[in-house]
Amino acid sequence: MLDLALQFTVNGLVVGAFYALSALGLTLILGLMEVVNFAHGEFYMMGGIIAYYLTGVLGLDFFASLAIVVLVMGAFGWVVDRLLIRPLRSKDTLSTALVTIGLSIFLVNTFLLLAGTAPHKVATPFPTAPLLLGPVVINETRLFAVAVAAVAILGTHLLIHRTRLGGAMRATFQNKEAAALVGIDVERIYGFTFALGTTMAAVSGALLGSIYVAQPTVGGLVSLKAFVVVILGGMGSFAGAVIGGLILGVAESLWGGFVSSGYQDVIGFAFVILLLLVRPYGLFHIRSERV
Amino acid sequence: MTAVLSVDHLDVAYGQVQALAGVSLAVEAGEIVALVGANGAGKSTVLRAVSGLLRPRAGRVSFEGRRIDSLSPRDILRAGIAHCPEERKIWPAITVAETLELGAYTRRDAAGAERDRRRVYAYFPRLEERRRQLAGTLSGGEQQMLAIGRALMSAPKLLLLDEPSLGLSPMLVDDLRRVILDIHCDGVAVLLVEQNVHMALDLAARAYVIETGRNVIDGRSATLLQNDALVRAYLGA
Repeated sequence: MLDLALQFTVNGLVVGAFYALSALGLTLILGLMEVVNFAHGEFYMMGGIIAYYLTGVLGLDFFASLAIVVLVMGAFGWVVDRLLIRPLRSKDTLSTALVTIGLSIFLVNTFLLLAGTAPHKVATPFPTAPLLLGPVVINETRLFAVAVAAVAILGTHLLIHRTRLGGAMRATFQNKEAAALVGIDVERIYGFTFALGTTMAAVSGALLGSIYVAQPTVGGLVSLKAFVVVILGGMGSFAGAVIGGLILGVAESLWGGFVSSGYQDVIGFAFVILLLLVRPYGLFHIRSERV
Repeated sequence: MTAVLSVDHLDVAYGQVQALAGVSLAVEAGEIVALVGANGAGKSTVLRAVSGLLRPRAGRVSFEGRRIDSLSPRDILRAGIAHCPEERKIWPAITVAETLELGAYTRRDAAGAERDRRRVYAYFPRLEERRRQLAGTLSGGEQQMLAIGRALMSAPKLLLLDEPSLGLSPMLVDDLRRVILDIHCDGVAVLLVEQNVHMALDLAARAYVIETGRNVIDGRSATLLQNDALVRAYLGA
């Protein structure tokens, strides 16, 4: 029983690492840029499908494919921001929300046309044999994927807090006008941030596609879960997205393992409703940012 | 008279609302000039148009003989104009030290930025004491000092100061007055927008009075202060 709980917890942490990575992408876009991005799940889906295409169809190396996903989806995110989000920057959030709903529908159907409805697996070079860590079973693909997610999360944290570009991002999102007045090109910062958020979703999708499957229709649920994690953690909070992601992953895994796998996807939403009753701003809302 | 900044017949509109209708003014190198007028007269709008936050609909802004009214805020800053905006606009979750670092964002000369950082800390010793604190935890007066320090970190030739005395205690206003004079003595020209007209006219050699987006009168501060009707109408005395 305890071994089983441990196994479910480890499984949950694996999935939670991707929830965290994907939600981190959304917290940049939703929490900082204030764009309610309903296409976030589709960016995730595209990461998975592109990685499948590169590894499975073109036979490229898994690592090279991940690098290509980063570049392609970064560029894609930048273009989306430039063409769809930027013209609406000064409008209300509802306008961009509608545009991203449209984008989401467009992307799902485009990829259904290109990749079909069947689920695809991203090919990895790792052996499928399970590794035994005491009572817990895991495999190399999972370990690698979690390591990449952890490096991506840490790398983003360092980027935002230790670099000149990160300083410009924080300044822009705390006061855009003051940022412009010290010579920061705020439009470029917005474009970069959207591209970064898009890339994080896509990498998460590519990695999870190597553990489970990539499928054009997966985006809707992924979007909802990313929103759950961002709200759970507190809008715009980095630590909140990471911890919220892990909590959701473990909760789903334990619930699915011990109670009912049929209602696994419901647990996150139940959590958010309960949490918002007690802490309306989420776990890690930063109050000083409301100054 | 060689104006370093000259604003000619500036028109600015917010949508359908005309905010400025043909405002003109000039600032000479190293000079302190005050821009005064009632609330809503368009004083801040003038500064925002000069620093590139707003695009004028008509008129021209030149700096050191070069036309700047279509440049980005970044290029205007690099030309040598820094704008310390109304209400301070500090970054609440960024430390004092990093705020000053970001103030030097466009600079390439690390040694010069370091010199200016020391100069800012010399103007405002409080900021040095609090350099590791988040800006959001500072008092209102300290936030104002930080906003001015941030603007000075770009080593401007002209500083646009918008309502620096707003919400400060009389003692802090005195400090502020001293710092503005120090900045002036270091050779920086200042265009000062103020509600506190007595402080503004006391510091500035010349002043412009505007009302509902139009020039009303301008001249030497001492002369303006002798004009009783003007003082009663605009200067709240």
